[in-house]
Amino acid sequence: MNEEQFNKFFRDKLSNYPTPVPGDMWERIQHKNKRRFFFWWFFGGILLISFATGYFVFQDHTNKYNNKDHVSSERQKTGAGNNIDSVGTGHAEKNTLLPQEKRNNEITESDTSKSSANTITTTPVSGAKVASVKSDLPRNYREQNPPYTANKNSYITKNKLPENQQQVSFETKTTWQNNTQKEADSTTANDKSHQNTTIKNDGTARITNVVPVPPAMDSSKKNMALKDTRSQKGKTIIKQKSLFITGYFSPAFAFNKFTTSNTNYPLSYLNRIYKIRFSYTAGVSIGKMFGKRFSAQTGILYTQVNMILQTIDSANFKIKGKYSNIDVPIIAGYNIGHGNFTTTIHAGMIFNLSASSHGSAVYDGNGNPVDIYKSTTGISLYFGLGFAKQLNNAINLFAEPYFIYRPSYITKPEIPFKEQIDMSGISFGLRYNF
Amino acid sequence: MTEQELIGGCKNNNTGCQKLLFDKYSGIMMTICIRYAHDLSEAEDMLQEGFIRVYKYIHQYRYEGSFEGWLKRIFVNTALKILQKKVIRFSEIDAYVESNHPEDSNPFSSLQEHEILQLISNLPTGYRVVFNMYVMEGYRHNEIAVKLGITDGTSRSQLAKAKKLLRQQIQEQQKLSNYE
Repeated sequence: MNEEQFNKFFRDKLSNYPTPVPGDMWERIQHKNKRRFFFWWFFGGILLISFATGYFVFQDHTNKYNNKDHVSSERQKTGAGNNIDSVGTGHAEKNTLLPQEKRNNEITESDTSKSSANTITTTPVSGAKVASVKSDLPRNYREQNPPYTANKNSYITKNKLPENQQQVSFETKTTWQNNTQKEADSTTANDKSHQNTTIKNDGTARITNVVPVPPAMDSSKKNMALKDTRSQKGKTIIKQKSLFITGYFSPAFAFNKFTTSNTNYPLSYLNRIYKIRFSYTAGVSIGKMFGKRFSAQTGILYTQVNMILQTIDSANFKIKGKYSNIDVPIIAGYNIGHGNFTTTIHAGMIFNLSASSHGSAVYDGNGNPVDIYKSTTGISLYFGLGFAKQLNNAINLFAEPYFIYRPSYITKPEIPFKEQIDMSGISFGLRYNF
Repeated sequence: MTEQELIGGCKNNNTGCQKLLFDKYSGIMMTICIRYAHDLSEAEDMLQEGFIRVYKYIHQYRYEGSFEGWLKRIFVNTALKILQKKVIRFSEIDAYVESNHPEDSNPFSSLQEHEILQLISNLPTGYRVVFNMYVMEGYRHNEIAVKLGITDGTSRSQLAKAKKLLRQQIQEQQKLSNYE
């Protein structure tokens, strides 16, 4: 038989020869397809949540930050006597949280009945816009009505107002008060008679206390007062709380992979019977900031991987299994945000203290289930990207997509196959700074 | 249901059509997987992965050329992908084929398909892959070289050794059956 005949012999014999396929192959294909589908939806969901959280928190932060610039530029344009107390009060910041398209540029002048202050309510889109709005006001009006600004005693009330007044919407307050009235007013700064009322489009009213500037204070003193205020507030911001405690919980997706050096071992059988279900991690940690950017933290991390052990053949048994770990993570962080929104890149190592399992689908020669897992699994690697929003001076809320890679096998050496489990998920938690 | 309707149904993710496609072609595709795999378990993995890829990429099939040929290419590529993860060794057991045995006049005549498959499966991985690609799929040596990241010369020598080893095994099998 020459070469060509030899080739032809094999081709003719095998090209259309069908080999019997295992009876459960179709179910296996469908099952694997579903797993992939779930996997991509899971990660799509995590990414979506991460981006949405990041976007909204970042948007919030950017608006606040821009508005600080606006207040600063407005102060420069309107002269030394304006807006002395507005720095750091936070009111101007909140007003710019409104969607830009919903803001109006109306200038409404209201004479609040409770105080005799004239309130000019307008909505700035930017510092430049405000400057132009203000410049439209009659010069003598501005001279006769030096401005006063809100202090931090502002609050929002849910009182419904008459229909016609609800037309006034989306305000940023610049409060102007007649000099002739301020002496009397200044003695009762916290009295309700000094409140200006502005109305939001949902019918809620913002009541702002008006603090008059003492008439004796000339512009240079006002400037000094401004500097002092800013300086003190600046110190408050710079003074960081370097220690923090975090608590978190995470739904997680675990990926297990079987390998073996024994080529005859039926790995596909293991893949069929070990089906991973909803898993989670939870933990607490304590950390320290090193400067503004770097941090380190450690704590306790609990991980639980839930499994269903089910054969597809005639034995058809089904066991609920779980594999859990107690670990000590040591994580370094690099902070790339500022203000009340931060993004932090985390990376580190996780040292396993103990590992345990319940349920097994592997049996010894006597038919007894065998615990296939080691009692400790060594070191894992952690990678995460955290998005944190400051709720107040001490507490941050955070969400962190992460991936835990376990390079070592979690099965005992005497077991004929090896298993690795990696995990991914998104942690949600709180961080307390002290 | 025509083949075109079947393919259309699979493109629309119709599970019934996917099952029909599986029933129609799984046997032939299993033979391809066994030819490339080291053992049955590996062949089953290849078959499973191959069908998942077929359902995933069937929308790319443009009704040009034989559908069965398109399916076979998917399965061959899937098998190669799985094998390449395991690092195919192309210089295994040269000494194994050094000895020459006298050739029987027609040792192939009595061979059944499953025996031929078994003989191919017994080949070392490098031999097996090149033999399948050249003899069964009709690739040329330069194409095999590109696909597997080896030289033309390696491909040729692997094929020669594979054929020699097959002949040798067939003759030995023939001798055994003659003794029996």
